[in-house]
Amino acid sequence: MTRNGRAHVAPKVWTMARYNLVRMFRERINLFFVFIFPVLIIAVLGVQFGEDNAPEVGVAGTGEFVDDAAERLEETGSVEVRRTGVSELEDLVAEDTVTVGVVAPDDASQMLRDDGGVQLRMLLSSTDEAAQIEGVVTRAFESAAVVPSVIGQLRAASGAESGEVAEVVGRTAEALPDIEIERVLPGGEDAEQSFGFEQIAAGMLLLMTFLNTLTGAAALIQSRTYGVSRRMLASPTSVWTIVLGEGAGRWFVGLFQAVYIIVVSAVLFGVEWGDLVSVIVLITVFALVAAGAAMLVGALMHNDEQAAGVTVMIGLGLGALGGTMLPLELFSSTMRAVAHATPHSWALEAFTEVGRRGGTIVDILPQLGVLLAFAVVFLGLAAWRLRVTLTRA
Amino acid sequence: MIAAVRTITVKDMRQRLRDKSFFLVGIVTPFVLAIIFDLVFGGLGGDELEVRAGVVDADQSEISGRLYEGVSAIDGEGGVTIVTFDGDSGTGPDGTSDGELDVRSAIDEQGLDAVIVIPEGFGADVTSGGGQAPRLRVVADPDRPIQVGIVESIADGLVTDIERSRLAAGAGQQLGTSTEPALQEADLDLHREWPGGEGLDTGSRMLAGMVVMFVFFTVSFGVTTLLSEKETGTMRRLLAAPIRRDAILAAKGIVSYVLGALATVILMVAGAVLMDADWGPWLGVSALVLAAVLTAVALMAVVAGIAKTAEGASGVQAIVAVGLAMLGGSWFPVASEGILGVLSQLTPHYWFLEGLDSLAGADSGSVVLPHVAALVAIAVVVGVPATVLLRRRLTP
Amino acid sequence: MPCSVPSRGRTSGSDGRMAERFPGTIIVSAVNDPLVEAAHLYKRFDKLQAVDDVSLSIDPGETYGLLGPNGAGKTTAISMIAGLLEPDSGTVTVAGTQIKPRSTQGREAIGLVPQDLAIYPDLSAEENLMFFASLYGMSKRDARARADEVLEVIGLADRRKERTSKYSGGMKRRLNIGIGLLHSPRLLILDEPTVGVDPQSRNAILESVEALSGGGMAVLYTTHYMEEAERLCDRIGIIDSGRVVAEGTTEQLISRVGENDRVRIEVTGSVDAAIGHIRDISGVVEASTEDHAIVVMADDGSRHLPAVINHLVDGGAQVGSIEVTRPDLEAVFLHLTGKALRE
Repeated sequence: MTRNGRAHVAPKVWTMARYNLVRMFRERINLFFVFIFPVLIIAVLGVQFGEDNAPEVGVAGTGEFVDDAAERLEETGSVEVRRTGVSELEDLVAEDTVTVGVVAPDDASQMLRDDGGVQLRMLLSSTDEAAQIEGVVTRAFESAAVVPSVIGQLRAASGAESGEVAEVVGRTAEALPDIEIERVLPGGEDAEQSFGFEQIAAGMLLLMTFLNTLTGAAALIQSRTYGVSRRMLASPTSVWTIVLGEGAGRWFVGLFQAVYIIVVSAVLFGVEWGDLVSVIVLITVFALVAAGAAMLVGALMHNDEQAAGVTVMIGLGLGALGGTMLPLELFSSTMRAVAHATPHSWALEAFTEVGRRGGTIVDILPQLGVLLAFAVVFLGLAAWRLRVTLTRA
Repeated sequence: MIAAVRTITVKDMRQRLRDKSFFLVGIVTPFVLAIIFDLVFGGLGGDELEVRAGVVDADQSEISGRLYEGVSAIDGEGGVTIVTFDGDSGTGPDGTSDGELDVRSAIDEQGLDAVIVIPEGFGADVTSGGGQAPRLRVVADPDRPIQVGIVESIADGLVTDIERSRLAAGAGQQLGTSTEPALQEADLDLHREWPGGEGLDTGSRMLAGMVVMFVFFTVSFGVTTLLSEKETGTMRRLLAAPIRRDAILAAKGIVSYVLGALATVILMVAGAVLMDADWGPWLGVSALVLAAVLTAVALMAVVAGIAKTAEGASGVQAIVAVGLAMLGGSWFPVASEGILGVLSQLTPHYWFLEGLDSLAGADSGSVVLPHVAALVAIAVVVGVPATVLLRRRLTP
Repeated sequence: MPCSVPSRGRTSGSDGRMAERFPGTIIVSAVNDPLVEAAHLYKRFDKLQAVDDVSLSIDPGETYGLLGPNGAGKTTAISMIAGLLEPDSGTVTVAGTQIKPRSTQGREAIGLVPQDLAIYPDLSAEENLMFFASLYGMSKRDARARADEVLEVIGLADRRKERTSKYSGGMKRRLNIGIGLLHSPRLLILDEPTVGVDPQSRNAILESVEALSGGGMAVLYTTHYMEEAERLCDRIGIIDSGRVVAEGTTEQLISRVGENDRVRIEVTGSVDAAIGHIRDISGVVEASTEDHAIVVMADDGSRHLPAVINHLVDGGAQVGSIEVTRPDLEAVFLHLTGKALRE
């Protein structure tokens, strides 16, 4: 007989975790949520944001000016150009397939050369992207308009024959080097980075892992309603051990799921996650935070249905606030401050550090520390609350 | 028959409303999420994206001066803040080395997204007409690519102006005319149009997405009672009573439908009042809501008809609800082309959200008729087998 | 109320056996020391004084019954003894260790069987047992061997692999008790184990408790069925409104209300003449009338019955049914509290 219960914490936690998992997977539906659902999400997102993620810009019209503008648009690399007819373009934009459409008159070049303005119809879809790429599209057409409009301007001013003016302007334009805009990082290196699916994948990983781990709350509530939790407390097992044990099963699942998402996304979509050790430590700690949150919800809520609602609310809500759905860079400064109250934002920062900047575990120590603090606070509150709940007559 | 339907409906309705989960899952959760989403995503479409950029003129030529002024003038427009650095002063980046090191500290200390650096010799390169290509540098904070893109776009616009006047001057010289290097804004007259309507603003669309996702959960509570009543044994009582089986089915359907519609209406009204959502003509919105809830009832009923237990049904219903919501665009917009596009268009969520999108700003509710028709079609195609399956489940 | 009734503990050779089961334990307590000592327990919930100065002691091998109506404070009292509830004041010592809710010390000595089922329905009987064995710090090998024994005792050996959600109510109850026995506790606490159980399973439960109490294990048993208390318990504490109002063996408790039988005879017609004669019978303590009945208290009711009936018939009354009740705990409870045990 052991007088001291502490000697048995590890085997007890292991036992609780093991039976928690046995019970979890006896509910077959959980297999779907753990193994299939994440892949589906990644697949949908991968197809959405994968190689072909540039928004489409439709261009209707013919002629030199339009061709030039379309070419300049292509060269920006940030959009795909689709040449099409006017009515078709209107339909495509209306159904949001094409983000922005531009309709130019066929004789646009001539109109510019005649020193008249050209009216372009800018067709905007109702998506958020439309507002974002409107500027890019405008710039491309403005650049394309430079040569013809200078021709028009000079022809009017000089009174020279139009063919001659066009020839001179064209020759001058050829001779003048284009002014280049070069994006560099502080320090001078080239700033052509891949930004997109990597970040979305990291966000989705955190969102899914947290949400799925959070459903462990229901398991704790079940243990409580079965009377088993109280019985555990009557055994030589401390409430901390119970919280750790009940949480450990979900922790493993969360960790497994995160690894699973990393492997699947790396293999199928070539996502680069960075230094393996750092990533493993990071998701281990993050899954612990999620398990702690699950235990807290499980200790606070009274029945399964309530827990289900709260789980979805917290899982999606914290995820959105923490920047898993929309990159933190796009947050207003107020919301970015709010975001730091979520574990997700810290984990995302760490993922960015490791994935994009090639950081190692030393670089993400601050984030790991904050995440660990989250975990300890969640687990501590859960233990306190569980004791109150279980020792109330 | 009518009396029996009414009795069961009233009983079920009372049970559901007494159960807190209707309010929690049906109303509170989607609304809280929509508010959060609105906070997070709301600033996206408009001018609320905050951009802080710096500009430094190391060249101090006439052309660079014009560029510098042009950038500075944008300060305060559309959420853009411009911080200017004097190219000569000690506080700004050192001109001879392009000052990258100091630019870095400027980015870090002043929280800038990007700094436009006009390097020394820029003006000369622009006017020299040959030789070295003039280069403008945008020193970027790599963590803020979207803001950097905006800064680049600002620089791009100004560069176009420079190219334009340079060309006019160069060619004019050859033709023996000197032209004013005036900016000719009137070259292009951009006329903005929204062929599909301006659509919902981001917050409203998020709320709509959550509403249609959660209505499936709300509805499922009502439908699943058919199974849980079997488990608790009360179904035996109902079947033993002198009422037709269809009465039981009808009552369950009505309860689910009314609860779903109730939650949806509450949320959309709350959205209009609290979040200033503008849903468009109410007749069209109502038709859309009523049709969408119908599809939700049909889909959840088909799951209940196949599932063995109430618990199993809830699990599958959750998968169906979340999966369809994701495909249908409740979470993020889904491509309308390719396999995904086709799958997406099979979901009620797609038609509900698209319908609301076209209703926003529309004059008449009739624009939504195709969407309502699609929803009703889904409801019929799914609802008929659901009824057959559920009727078979009405055994003791 | 402090216990004034001397205990008559049975301690025959039990400690040797306990030491065998828990190798490494040195039993320092002397043979006659009580295993459980609860001293002056108080617990208040809002306006209700649920437990009001309860003290009790149980010797090794003894079966102690806590008898009282629903809401008397039985479950609250044993929750404090099991360390699940913090007493407002008072202490609990089991096997020499003070039991405190915030410490896990001394819990191995206790096996608790809660009133409501406390098992996982989605695990099998065997899995439930192995789970709790680990929580009580048993090694896997010991746990497996002990689980086999327990499954045998509770009669679930052949259905050990089945999920308990498929069990009948009685089987679940048996498993619920089995988990409490698993780690061979020195004190088994059974909280109303027969509530809501069909008569057959109830009997099986009672028999197993009888069998278990032979093995040197002390049992604390709460119930509101006086037959169970009488049948199983060496000593009984009667609890009402949070207070132990009397304690002792069944005989001791009954002697407090006297040894008289109660004879109730339904009659029609006049009894006025007969009642005086009945009171004169030697051995009759008292005779009184209720509506359509006469109640006679006598030291040996059935012996005086012919004489009583003769007097009644002579007096012109006609005798209906006759009921002789020997004194029992029900009567004790009624006597002590003025309330019936079961309402």
